[in-house]
Amino acid sequence: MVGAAYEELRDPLYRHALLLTRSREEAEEIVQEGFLKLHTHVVEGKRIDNIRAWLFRVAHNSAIDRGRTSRERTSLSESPNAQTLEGRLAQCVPSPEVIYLQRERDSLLAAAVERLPDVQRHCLYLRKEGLSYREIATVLAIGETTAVDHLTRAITRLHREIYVR
Amino acid sequence: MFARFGERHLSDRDMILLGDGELSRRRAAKARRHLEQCWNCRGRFDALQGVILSFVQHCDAVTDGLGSAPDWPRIARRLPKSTGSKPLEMAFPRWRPTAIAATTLSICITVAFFHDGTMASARAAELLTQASGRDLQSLHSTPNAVIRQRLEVTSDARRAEWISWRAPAGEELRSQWSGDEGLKKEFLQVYVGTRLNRHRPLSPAAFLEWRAEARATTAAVRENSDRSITILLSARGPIQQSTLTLRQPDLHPTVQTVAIRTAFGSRSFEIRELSYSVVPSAELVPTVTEHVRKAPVSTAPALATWDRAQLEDAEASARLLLHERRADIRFEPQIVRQNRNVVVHMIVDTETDRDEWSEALARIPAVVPEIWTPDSIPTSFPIEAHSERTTKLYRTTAPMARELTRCLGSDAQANKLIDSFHSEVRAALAPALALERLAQRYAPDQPASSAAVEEKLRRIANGDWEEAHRHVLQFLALVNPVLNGCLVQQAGPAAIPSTPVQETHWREAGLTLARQIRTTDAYFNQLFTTQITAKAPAPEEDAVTQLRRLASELQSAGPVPGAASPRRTP
Repeated sequence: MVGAAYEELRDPLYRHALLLTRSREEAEEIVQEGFLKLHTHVVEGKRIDNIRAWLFRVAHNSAIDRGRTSRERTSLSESPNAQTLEGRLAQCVPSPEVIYLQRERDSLLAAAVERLPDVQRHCLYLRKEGLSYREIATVLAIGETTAVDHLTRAITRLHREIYVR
Repeated sequence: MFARFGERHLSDRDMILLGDGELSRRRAAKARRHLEQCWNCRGRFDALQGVILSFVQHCDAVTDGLGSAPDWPRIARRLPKSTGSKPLEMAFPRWRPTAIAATTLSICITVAFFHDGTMASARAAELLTQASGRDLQSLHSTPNAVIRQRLEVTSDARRAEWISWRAPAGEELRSQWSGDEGLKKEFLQVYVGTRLNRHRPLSPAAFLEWRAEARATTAAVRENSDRSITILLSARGPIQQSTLTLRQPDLHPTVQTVAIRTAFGSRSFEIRELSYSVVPSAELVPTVTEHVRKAPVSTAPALATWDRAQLEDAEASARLLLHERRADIRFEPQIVRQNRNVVVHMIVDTETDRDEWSEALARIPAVVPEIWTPDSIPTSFPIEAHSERTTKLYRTTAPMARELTRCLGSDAQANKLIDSFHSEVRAALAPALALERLAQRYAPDQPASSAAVEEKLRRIANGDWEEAHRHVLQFLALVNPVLNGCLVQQAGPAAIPSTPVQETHWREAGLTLARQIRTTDAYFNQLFTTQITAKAPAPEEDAVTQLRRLASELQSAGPVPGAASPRRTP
């Protein structure tokens, strides 16, 4: 069971941890801890209703505990991938003007995401990894309706900050 | 969320739910139709999807350059340290395919099946699905199959025999009972009061459906000495526990037990299959199929007989719960008493909401939730949806209805006023009932243990009073013009007199307020709608006078709570 869960969930879990911590080492550590806890849980004969929600919750709490969520976070422009993104954009877009607009929009989005309240940002990250509303609610220990509210607010806020200016 | 298509555009929330596939089918279809017609909404929908796409690209850009998840051997190396067990890598031959690993894996799985709830759950689902498949297979191999099942039902040393002929889809063609008549009635009420399917007793498919609907958890899957397998499920609804025993090797269900929660503790029923046969309908005597019965309309159960005080308490608790969480309710709930139970009829938006509401309401003793989503409203459902509400809802022969319509100009306006009135009454009744319950619990002859407690109670009462009275003033604002303006030809005072606030002890105030609100509602309904909520409706003129008197009393009580009275409990 742990093996199957590992195969299916290691990448989304790692990505989620990475988004929260922005550190490869921390994210790896969080993923390892998550699966170790799962193994211990199974060995002890404890029951888990939804392994995905359980693992994400463990990883999420672990990342929060490490205090990396809000600090030491590098922005998109500082991330090692910024060059790649620019390179990609340069290859596929025809005019410098479009590149400029796209880059501006990306940096606006990155800044807007950073400005979102933690819970809204976490809802977005979890939804991006394919978690259902119910699973998001379980991971963040909030109501399902609240999770939907947070997601809606986050998306409309991003829309407002990027497009409605 | 969006109650009236055509009148309103889609909200952002609806669009996001639509994009995520979380809207019910009917609402999603409506939303899509709206999007087809409305450029504004379509533009906004695309914009929101564009934001989501940008966000996903942003996340990918952040994570793509930072490598991938750690490989399994690195985690496995840490296992002995953290758990003291053998490295788990041995359990996964993919990484080290040795014979020992395979053995360990099989042992792990065997142990897990019987000790780990998740595996038990998976095992139960697998067994039930297999059993259900075999059930269907045997039916399909017989043309025009009819199932004849002879069952023995036992409970507390009582016994009844039930022979049932039914079609493969579950429709009961005929049933024959013998034995204890009381047991039969009780047993059939179990089916009515729970989500078990009466038309498919001892059916793995029905058991599987109930498991999903009641959100039952698998407590155990065990193999008995005769090699049969018993699946034990536990739930938090009216059924506490249920087991299904499957015979080996054909996985045919032979015994089911059901433990029900009643007012007098738990009660268990056992259904044991004495015989089972699938026969072509042509071989049956005509009496079996000629009286095809329709499925009974679901009515509230009488699993337990509750006394009046318990029912009132249950109703108050249900109203409070609805009041606290009513933001999520799409349609106004209706609370009725049936068969000495409080039945809450309600329509909610999603199946998730339905499950949550059912679970919350089922926790209140004597309350039976009957909750539906817009997609699954049965024709017998007593509430009409807002979107389908037409003038006929209150267009009745009620004495004042025509007068009200004439005064307000249209049926729609009259209905709107009645809706608003009901809404405010409900909102006022919840805190008033809480106040009433508080007053009953701490009656004047049962004073609080200390002055501090009394003071605390008074503060709570104050809060309830104020909240109730805010809504009281709002429904009075609706009733007073009706009484003084529209119905001017009726005898009575032209204006509501304003009298000074009377200082009343909070206990009396709570009891009085709840009674006044209830009576006001009853008289109002009697005069303006067909909902007769009073047990003995008063003559029309008396009802008008009484309604005026009540409005006057409620008005004169004023917004200042009686709980402010400095009088102490004797």
